[in-house]
Amino acid sequence: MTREIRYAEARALQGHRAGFASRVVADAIDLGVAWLLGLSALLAAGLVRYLLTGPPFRLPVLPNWLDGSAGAAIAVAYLALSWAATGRSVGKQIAGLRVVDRAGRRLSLWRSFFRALLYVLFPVGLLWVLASPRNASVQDLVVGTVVVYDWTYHPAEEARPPRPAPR
Amino acid sequence: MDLDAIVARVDLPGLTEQVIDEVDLGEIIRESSSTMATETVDALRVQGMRVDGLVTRVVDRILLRQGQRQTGPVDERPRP
Repeated sequence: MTREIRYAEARALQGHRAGFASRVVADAIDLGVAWLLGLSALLAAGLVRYLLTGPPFRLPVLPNWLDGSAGAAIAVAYLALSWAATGRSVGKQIAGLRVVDRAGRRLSLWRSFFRALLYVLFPVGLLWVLASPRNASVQDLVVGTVVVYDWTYHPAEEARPPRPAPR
Repeated sequence: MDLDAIVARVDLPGLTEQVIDEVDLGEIIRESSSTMATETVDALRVQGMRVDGLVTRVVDRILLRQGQRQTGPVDERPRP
């Protein structure tokens, strides 16, 4: 489903490489989503334990090493699946961004996974967007991806946003 | 003409009910809420675009970068 974009400046930038601020906003939202997913997993584990062993209901307490790695694994899985499925996670959907490859196509699952892993292990790589002449993060350069403005809704196979009609 | 008598004969509650049945209030509320949400998100997104442009200009000035960044659309190569 496509819809008319009201702002002329936004119409003109559809499909262009997104800048630092939009990407930070999207990533901050995704961080929150990943945290909520982790909390949901803990709640589910607590509930299962409650059903099996009875009261009191308590959230499981993970050892530090497992806490960190489980959180990272949830974040990687969430980001990789989102990017491979539609090119956008919740944060990117809200910020109106989409991750595509250099030809504008949807990412494969492996490429998405590798990109997500790099983001979780080395989030500072996003800062390179500030200096890059093509608005690329370190992860974009390594994996060969591009983050574009894309406000429209269209099938995931058509990751490249439709060109704005000439006015 | 006795208007009061005519009005008294009109089944006002029934008429009101018929009008309400005809107007899909739920659909109107759903549509207006959806439009408001979309417009709010679009307004936030365009603010993000403006901040992107501002940040880019400031950084490029600090880096003494000549010329524009190449942030145009991705390659238009045909798909395999």
